[in-house]
Amino acid sequence: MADHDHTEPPSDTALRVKALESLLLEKGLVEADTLDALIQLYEHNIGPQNGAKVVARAWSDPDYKARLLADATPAIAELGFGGVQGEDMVVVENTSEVHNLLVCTLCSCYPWPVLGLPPVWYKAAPYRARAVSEPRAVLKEFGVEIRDDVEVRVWDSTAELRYMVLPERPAGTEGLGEDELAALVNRDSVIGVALVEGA
Amino acid sequence: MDGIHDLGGMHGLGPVNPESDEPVFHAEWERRMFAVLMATFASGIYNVDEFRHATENMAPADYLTTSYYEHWLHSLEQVMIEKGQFDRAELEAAWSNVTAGEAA
Amino acid sequence: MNGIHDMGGMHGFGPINPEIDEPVFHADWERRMFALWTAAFAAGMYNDNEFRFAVESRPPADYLNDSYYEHWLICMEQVLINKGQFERADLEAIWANAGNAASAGNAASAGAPSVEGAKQALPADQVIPVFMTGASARVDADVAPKFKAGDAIIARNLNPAGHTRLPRYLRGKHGTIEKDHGVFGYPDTMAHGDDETPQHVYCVRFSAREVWGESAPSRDSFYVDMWDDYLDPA
Repeated sequence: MADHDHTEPPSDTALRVKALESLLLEKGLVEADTLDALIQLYEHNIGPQNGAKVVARAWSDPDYKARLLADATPAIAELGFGGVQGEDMVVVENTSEVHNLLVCTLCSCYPWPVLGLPPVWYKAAPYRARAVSEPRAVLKEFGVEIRDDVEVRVWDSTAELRYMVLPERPAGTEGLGEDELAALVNRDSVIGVALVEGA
Repeated sequence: MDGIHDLGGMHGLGPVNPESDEPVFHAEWERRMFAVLMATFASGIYNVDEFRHATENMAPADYLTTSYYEHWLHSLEQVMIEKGQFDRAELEAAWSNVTAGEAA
Repeated sequence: MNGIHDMGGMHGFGPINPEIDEPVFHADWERRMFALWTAAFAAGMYNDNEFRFAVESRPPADYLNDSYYEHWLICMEQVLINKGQFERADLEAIWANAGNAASAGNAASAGAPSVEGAKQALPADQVIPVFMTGASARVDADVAPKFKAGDAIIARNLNPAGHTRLPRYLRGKHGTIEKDHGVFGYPDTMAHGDDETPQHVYCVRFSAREVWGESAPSRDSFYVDMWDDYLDPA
């Protein structure tokens, strides 16, 4: 058998992924339908709309909020959310005295069941490096200015606990129902880089 | 600054790979770069700290993937612009001229 | 390891540049890559700790230059080869034909899952049950905690060559135990095929000034989860 040169991977990443996929399928290590089901689940079913519902429920129901802050995982499960990358959840509340910001400096840990998959910026070097060294400058870049008398708490997800922020409920939303409240909540506010604007 | 240059203790950078009988310069452009840097430094246009800081401010991926004298090139351009010795437009014109000259 | 991935506090990376209305996936290959990685993970082919270590171990320039899902692609190939799921030659055979549209069926050892303990592919009807349940990293072990809420601690100055979740910016810093989360597996051993070494994980509070010095805002703080083995009493 002739020696052949070490074959380089295709420079086109799409082809390289296709090669890996075909090999795994061929060896029976993954199934084609499974791949489709995973894409459906994480691209279309799970997403920040889940977290928005949790927030809206907490704003509307003080007992629920208390349960959520005391033991987040079962409280989130009450709404039907939970699972991979959210098996052990912690919810941290923004108040007039504390503003919370989430980061994973070491990789990209993120609460999938309530927010879906993280955006590119959350996983990239600038945010990971600067969220801990200059959180207020980072927040300003996102258009959020926190007063000096408010504590900025940065949560670095080093372990398998996964975090979400319970943003402050904006003024003037007293009459709104849960669905309307959920519609106000965006993903960035649950990471802590945005505030929720009123209706 | 806690820049990429602050490599003390970092893992993952691989073996040292010293070159046997390494020449002082690996290419003519390195020789020219060295000379230009030394001449401008000696004339006091910038100090060594300003120069080092320009290198430290390189984008980290660029810092890791470019060579030593490429760092000098980047930093000298940077520092000369900062000191008002020329502006970016003049530098770009020089690039165009050199490229045209090469093609001619 | 003191790798490039350990970026907390690093300068020089520029603005954050969030993309407005960013799609979940930017290309079809990213979508496929996510699915492949997740399916293989669910089938138990690797754990989070060892995969993270593979990504951390990429050459620093590549780590910075390649995109997130490219890290997954390149490391997944490597981890699966290391685990004996296939050989590099199997991949190369497909790469050599990569210009062809449908390149399945060219692997040298077609059809036979190799492996130290054949892994069962996750069936499609198990996706929802498995992923909506997940698998907590908690370990049901009767291990005594070394600390309790309110204790003053110092984060150890550990610099292992292997995987750790103790970031450099916190090593040697003084903090306070906020809460005991309970017993979990220890990534520093689990990433390397070793024992779970179950131990308590705590939420630890550090003041910003303790971490960054007097220039940091006086009120600000960090809350970081740390294992018993990362901590000494102050």
